[in-house]
Amino acid sequence: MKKPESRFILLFVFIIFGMVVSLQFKSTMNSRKTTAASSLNIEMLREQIAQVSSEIQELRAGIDENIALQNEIIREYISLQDDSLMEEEWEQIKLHTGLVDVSGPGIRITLNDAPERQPDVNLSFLVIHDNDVRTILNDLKIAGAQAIAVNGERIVPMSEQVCAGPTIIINGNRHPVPYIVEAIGDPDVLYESMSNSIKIAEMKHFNIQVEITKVKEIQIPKFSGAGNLDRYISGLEVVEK
Amino acid sequence: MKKISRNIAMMIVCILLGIMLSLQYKSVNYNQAMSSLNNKRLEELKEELIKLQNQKNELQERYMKLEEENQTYAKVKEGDSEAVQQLKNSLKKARIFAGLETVKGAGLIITLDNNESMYVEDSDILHIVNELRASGAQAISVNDERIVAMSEIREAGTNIVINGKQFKAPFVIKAIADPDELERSMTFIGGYLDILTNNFQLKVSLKKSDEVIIYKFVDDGTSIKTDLLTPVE
Repeated sequence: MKKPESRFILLFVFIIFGMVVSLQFKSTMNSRKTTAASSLNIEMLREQIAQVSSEIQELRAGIDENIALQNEIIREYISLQDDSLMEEEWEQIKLHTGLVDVSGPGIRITLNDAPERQPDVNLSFLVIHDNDVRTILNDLKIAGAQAIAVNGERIVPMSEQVCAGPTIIINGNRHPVPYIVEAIGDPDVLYESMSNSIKIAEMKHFNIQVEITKVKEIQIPKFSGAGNLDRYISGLEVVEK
Repeated sequence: MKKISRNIAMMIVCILLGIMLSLQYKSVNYNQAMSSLNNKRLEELKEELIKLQNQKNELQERYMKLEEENQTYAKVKEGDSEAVQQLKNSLKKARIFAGLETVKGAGLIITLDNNESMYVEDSDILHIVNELRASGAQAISVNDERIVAMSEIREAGTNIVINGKQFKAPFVIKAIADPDELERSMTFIGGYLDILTNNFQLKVSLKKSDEVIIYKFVDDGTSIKTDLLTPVE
């Protein structure tokens, strides 16, 4: 009686053993296959992304070239009109409204969230909000800035600054911290008024990292939508006097 | 004797089995985690690719349009009247974008007024103007003062200064864009206008209109300054 019982147990043990081995084999093979397949896919996707990115770069360069060419033709045309008022105005529009890259003296403000939590301080005070950026831009305008960009995004008449989770949307594009605000204007005046800005004092109080530097020459890019203005004025009809 | 050795053998086999089972469990779990991680990365990359492709398409469209325009503009030198007309249009578009043309279109008119104890502040107007921009407004004015690229909004006593000019309450903010969309994005519960109305009891009114007229920016020579800007080409 004893012998068959222990045999039975052994049989049972070996059945489980066999199942375990086959399962393990299957799972390993499977994972190897999928890993191989997905890493191949990842590789392919990476390549495609790199390719599309370089195509985008090329297109950007082509667009810039075309905008420059267009500006050239327009300038030539205007100069032939012998209308100095028109010429002056056109230059001013391009510079003021952000249709060309510009350079000049000014200041650079670098903003970053507070480096660490602080006891008894609401976390909300430690990060930069859309409202902070907006107020700083307004302060810069009050101080007489002539051109402003935030993270390379030129500020144009309808530039919004709204929050989207941990990022801020400017001109329809998302930007995370750090925020680099560049403004062209009288560096001394801009520096002075930003150093006295209530907003910046408040941010510094909560250890938000604010760094203001005067810069001899800043380059500020043109509006990302320059060359496609139709999209921004599609609902406007001109009223002639 | 036999019995003992068999028992030992059985025990060893059982222990081995137990170890294998636990290893198996771990390995299967690990494999699953790995493949889901890979899948996640795959998903992320796919998303990125799609985003980039959309961006590329948009840029391509813009590029083609510019090429086409430039081909037309090339005829300006030969005095082609149609080309000249197009070039003039392009100048006009830049003027509209800059806020130097009076424009009309469907939009929204928001009126803000002080109550007995509360004043409308510069930050209120700044906030509302920004919200209108984010909702797709294409032109905005406050008390008929056009908002342009470097328009500041600040307080001077109970007055508000915009483009260097002083304005008193009530403040009439006009914006051109799809009126329904503007209204929806301006009036949600907990939105800025809602807070001004219910928490601060300011007098706020909203009016949709099929024809909002927004006047052009008039420069008295002090507002738009570009003397420090050098074009980079």
